[in-house]
Amino acid sequence: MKKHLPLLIALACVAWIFSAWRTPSDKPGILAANAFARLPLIANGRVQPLDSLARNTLLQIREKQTVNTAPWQGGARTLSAAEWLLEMFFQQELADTRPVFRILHTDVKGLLGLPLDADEAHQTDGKHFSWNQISPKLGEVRDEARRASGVEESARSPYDRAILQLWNSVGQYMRLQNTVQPQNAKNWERDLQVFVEAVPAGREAAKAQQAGQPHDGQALEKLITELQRASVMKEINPPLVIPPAHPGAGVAGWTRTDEALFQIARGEEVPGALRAYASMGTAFRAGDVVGFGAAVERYREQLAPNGHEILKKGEREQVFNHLEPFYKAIVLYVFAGLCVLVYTLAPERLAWLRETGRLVTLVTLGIHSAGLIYRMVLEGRPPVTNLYSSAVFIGWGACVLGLLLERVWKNGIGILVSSSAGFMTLIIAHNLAQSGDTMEMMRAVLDTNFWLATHVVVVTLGYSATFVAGLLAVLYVVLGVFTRVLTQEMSKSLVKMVYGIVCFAALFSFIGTVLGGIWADQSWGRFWGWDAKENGALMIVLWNALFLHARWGGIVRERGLMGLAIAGNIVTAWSWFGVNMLGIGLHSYGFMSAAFTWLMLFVGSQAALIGFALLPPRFWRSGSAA
Amino acid sequence: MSQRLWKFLTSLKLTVVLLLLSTLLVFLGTLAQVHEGLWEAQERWFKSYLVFRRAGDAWWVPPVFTGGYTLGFSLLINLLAAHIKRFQFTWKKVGIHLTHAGIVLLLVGQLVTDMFSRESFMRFDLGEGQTLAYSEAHRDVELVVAAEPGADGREKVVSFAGKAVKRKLLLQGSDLPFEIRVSDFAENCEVLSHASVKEAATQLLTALGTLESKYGSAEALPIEAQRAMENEGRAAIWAEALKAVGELDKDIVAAAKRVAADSAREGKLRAELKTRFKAQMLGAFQRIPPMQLANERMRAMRYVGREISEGRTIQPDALPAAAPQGSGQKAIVTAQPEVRGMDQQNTPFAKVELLQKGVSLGVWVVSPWLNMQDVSVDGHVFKIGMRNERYYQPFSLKLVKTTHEVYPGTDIPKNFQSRMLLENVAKGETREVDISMNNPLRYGGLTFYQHQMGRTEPTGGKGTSVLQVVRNPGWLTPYLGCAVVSLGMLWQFLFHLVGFLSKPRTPKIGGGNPVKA
Repeated sequence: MKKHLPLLIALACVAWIFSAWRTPSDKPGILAANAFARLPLIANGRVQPLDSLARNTLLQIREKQTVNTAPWQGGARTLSAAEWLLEMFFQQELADTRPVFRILHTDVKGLLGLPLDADEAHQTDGKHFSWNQISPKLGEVRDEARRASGVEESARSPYDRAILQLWNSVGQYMRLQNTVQPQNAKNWERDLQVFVEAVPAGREAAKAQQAGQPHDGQALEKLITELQRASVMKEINPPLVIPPAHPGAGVAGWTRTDEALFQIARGEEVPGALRAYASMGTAFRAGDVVGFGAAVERYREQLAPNGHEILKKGEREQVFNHLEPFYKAIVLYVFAGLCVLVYTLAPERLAWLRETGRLVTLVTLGIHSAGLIYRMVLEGRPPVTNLYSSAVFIGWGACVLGLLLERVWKNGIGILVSSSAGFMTLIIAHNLAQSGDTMEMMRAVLDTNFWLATHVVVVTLGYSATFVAGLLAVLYVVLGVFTRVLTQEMSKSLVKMVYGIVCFAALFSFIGTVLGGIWADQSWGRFWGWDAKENGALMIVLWNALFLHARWGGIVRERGLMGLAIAGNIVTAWSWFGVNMLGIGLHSYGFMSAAFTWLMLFVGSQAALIGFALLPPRFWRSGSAA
Repeated sequence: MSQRLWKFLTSLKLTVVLLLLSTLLVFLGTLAQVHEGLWEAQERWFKSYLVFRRAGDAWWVPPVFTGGYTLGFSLLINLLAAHIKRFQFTWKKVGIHLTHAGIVLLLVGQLVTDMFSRESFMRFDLGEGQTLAYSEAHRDVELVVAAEPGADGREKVVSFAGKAVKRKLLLQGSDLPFEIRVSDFAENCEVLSHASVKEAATQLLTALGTLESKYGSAEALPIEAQRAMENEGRAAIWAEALKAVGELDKDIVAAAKRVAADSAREGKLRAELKTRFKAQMLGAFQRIPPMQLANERMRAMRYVGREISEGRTIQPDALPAAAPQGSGQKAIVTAQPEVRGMDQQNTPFAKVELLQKGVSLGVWVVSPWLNMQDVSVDGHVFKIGMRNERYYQPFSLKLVKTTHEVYPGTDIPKNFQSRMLLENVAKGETREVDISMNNPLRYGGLTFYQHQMGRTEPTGGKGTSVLQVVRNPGWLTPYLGCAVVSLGMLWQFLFHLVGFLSKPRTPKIGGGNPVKA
């Protein structure tokens, strides 16, 4: 049995993954929220399903992809992103009661006159608030946000940042509510009909007025009043939901609802999408499950002849959102890591656990890679395009390196490296995702797949390798100082692993940095400009070179080398994250955003580990193996 | 002794120490950019031999540190010396030799770039249709004197480098009938027209005057208190002033009535109110958000507010002149502290006196802020001014069309592109070229990059474009250097990997006994 157990466990993991790998469907008799969420639109400059818009907006304003409708009491109903979006589009008076604005800063709560702590009587858990709760003081928020945005980014206080964050959330929220209808329209389908019917008379009147002839003032007035609603929507700049009437107009042909309304006023036809969303709204408000499903289906059929590709894209991305490959990878990495940790307690007896860990890590690498490739296909880009995807890719690279080490040494160390590096980087990626759409479009200067595929990928692999070397050194120190596990043999093998990986890291970080220089020469006319990010990469190269020369010269011994490798973690973390924070106020030294705190904690922990590495052997529980 | 020196120069220890210092230097030089800006930090930390701590530096700046040149040269010497001492040809070492040869090439290339490269800009700010045959320096300025166009229609221009102006040299040109004496120079200045200062001063002085009449009598106090209720800020000032005369009542109108009736206190209250409101007004004039300072009116307000709060008087109809001649007659020019931020730029000014055979022709103030000014000498009209240094090219570029695309529904730029007409009369060459992000034009030893793009109102919505122009004779060295290093490292890596993978090993956790200390 034990012989087959690892394989069975790994297969169970595969089954778990595949259970979610399908287009999410709606049960008959239940509102077709999934079919609705598959519908395409253009937001952040790219085609995406409504599902992504809903999830990304929620991540930004609530830091989660779901909505707890009553967090101040247990057992409340949770809305999926798609269900929430339905309310945001079609039943806004209900959406306005949902506590979706996450507000933690005490002074911001003070400004809004909100309770600081959980308070059932006021229907709040002290962290999440509804539109109805914050809207009375929106004027104050706007004034404060205006003031804060005038402050130079580096000099902004945590309060300023919290205010700006809230103001951004308010904007996101209003954008959603103005996407398919004017905010707070109670019966948009009827209003739209009234508007459409008012157009001919209004246009006649307008023409007559311009020609200086007698005209129907009332009809003109009516049209103008209707258009005022559209003008308000225009200010808010919602996403583009109306596909082009003519095939071949491409992505640039999409328009916003307000633009469509102005076009109708100019005498153009009413776009099908406008009517389709309006009828979905009517069905949704009436709780008409069948009618709603039919309306969604009708709209899909309407889109199909010209928008087949776009419908497919929406569907694919929804599958990706639903699959949550990186979330699943996090869970499996933890599982694999735990298997190996238990294995180290009794390696002789628990060999099957190492095998389980290895197979599960392989499966996890599979889902990690699948997620990575899925994203690349969706975006049509190389793997690393922003900070978020760099985290995903660093984890992936570290996982591959770990498995390669395991292939050579077969002692569980490689698996431990794979699982812990994969876990940590994906957690970082998860937190980075909260700043919005992770598949944003590339600015003109970055819009070159060639350099993204070469420079960025290679330099990121350099980061991966440096982190893996650092991680191995951390294992060395922790096992050596706190346990008796670090035998002489193992110590030797770890030192070899670190050396091999640092060689790899030096190669990749150097070539990556150089490719970056060549890119810079191609696009700005200088190979090297001492830019913060360039300098970060250079520091990794220098540090790896230092490690190698120190070893070749025999200047430091094993423990010293391990200390150097751990310091490599600090250098890499600085280059990866630290330099990005320079602009946001390292020089105000009072600056403490979450990421900065974590970076400091990381640096502190690594410094402590270097301290342990330098302890004389008699303080090591594994003795002078080191 | 020399043997010990040789040993030191060739030692790996020295390499490690130099690499450590280099890593630290890069780190410190990056941090320094936050305070000093990219350009200044680069000059101070990377393009220098030693970095000394200066007054006003952040706490982490060490008293003295090795600069980029010191480390670069030391690494170069260490590397060359080590190779002279230990060089031996074996296949195993080919990788190391190649790597190091490439590094030498990179270090030397960077030095060449430092010494010979030049960056400048071609600004097509008049929009599509503009033709330029020169680029402008980003920082360096020049003092120029242009004579009237000659018979061939071309005007003669004499220019003096900014450095000479800065050193206040006596400037002479063989074609000029006069000499130029620089009497004053500042790296950064602010130029305000009399018109804008007058407007701001009138506004402030009127407001301050109203204050006098508003609180001129005791009877006015309750009425003004009533009015102040409409505005939270003003009500707060009232509450403070009332507190100063011993009134703590929240109802400021009632309190004002009481004080107005009390002849012992009403005078003091009026004085308190005047002082506080005056301070508030002066504050509002001086605290202009940085983003609005691009507007001259706002800068004038700040100037006026500062002058008055520092106790100087301003007469809107008799403002001081920056110079007795030229544009300076109607402008105020004040030296400003030098700026160092990322996007900030210094704009210098100079006061120049023109001398003809020792006799003064007058004093002019020149600055890139001001237009060229006419100077009449012996019946000839010269134009004098200060502008960013120009580098002329033997060919011209005409901005034909700009393309500026964004992603639908966003402001994210998708493509910037300038269609240019390149014309080289000497070579009889005329052709159209496209310059876009990541797609520069290399021509005549120069490289042209798409830098900025815009659309201006004054040109009727025509697209404008700025190209960055780089001259770097050493641009090829990094490519070569990198290729050589990469080759060397690959060689080394593969050599080791092959050797490493061909050896079997299988140590296991717990496979041996822990060694007791």
